[in-house]
Amino acid sequence: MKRRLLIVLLFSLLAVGGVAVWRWWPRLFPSGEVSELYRRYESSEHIRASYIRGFRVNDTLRLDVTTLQARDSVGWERLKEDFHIQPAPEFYQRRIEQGKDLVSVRLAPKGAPSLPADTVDVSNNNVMAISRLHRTVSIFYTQTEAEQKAICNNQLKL
Amino acid sequence: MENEESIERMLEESRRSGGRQTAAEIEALVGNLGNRRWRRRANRLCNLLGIVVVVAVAGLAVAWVPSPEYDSYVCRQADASPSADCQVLHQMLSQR
Repeated sequence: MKRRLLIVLLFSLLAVGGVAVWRWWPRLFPSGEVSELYRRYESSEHIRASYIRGFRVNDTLRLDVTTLQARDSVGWERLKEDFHIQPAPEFYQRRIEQGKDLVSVRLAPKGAPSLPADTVDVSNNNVMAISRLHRTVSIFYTQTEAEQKAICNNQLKL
Repeated sequence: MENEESIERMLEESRRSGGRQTAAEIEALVGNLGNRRWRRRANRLCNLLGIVVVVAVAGLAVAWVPSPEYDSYVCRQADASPSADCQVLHQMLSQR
C-alpha cells in the first residue's frame, strides 16, 4: 500500500513538474527570434530596444511586442522623427509634465510603421502605442482585426 | 483459473483416494480462491484510483500553475528589465 502511495505521489509530482516546464519552457529557453524593428534599434546608444514574445494583453490574447524607449532627448527626437509623432498640444504637455501619461494608439502598416494605416487590408496593420511620459513607442504585432480591437478595448476600459 | 484447476485436481485425487482429502480442506481452498478474487479486484480498483488521482493532479496543475507574463524577452542592452518593460506596456494598455 505504501509503495502504491509513493508511486502515485511520484507520478503526481512528475505531472505538476511537467505542466510547469511546459508553461515556462519558452521563458527558460528563449528563442533568438527578434523583429526587424528591434534589429534596427538594438545598437542605438540613445534608444533601448527590447523584443517581448507572447506578451499577455488579456486572458486570451498574447502578442509579440517591440518596445523602443528613448534614453535621452536625442533618442526621443529620433523616435519622434522616425514614427512621425506629432508634438502634444499644450494642455497635454502640461499633463505630461505633471507626471500623467498621454498614450496615443494608431494602426501602422507592417514593415513601415511611419506610414499611414493600410485601410484596404486592415490585417496588414500592427498597433502602435506611444507613451509620451515614458518616451516609449511600442509596436504590437497583430494578425487580425479582432486583436487590434482587443488592444483598443483594453484601453477604453478606464 | 489455476486454483479452479487445482480444486478439480484435488477433488479427483480425493475421489481416487477414497475421500481421504476432507471436505473441509476443499472448502478452505474455495474460500481462499474467493479471497484472491476480491484481492485482485481491489488491486485493480487501487490502480485505477491511482491513475485518477494522477490525472486529477495534472488537471489541477494546468489550472493552478500560472502562465508567465510573457514567453520570452530579448534585449541585449545592459539595463534590460523585462518587468519594467511589461509594466510600461500594461500602463500603456490601461491609461488613456
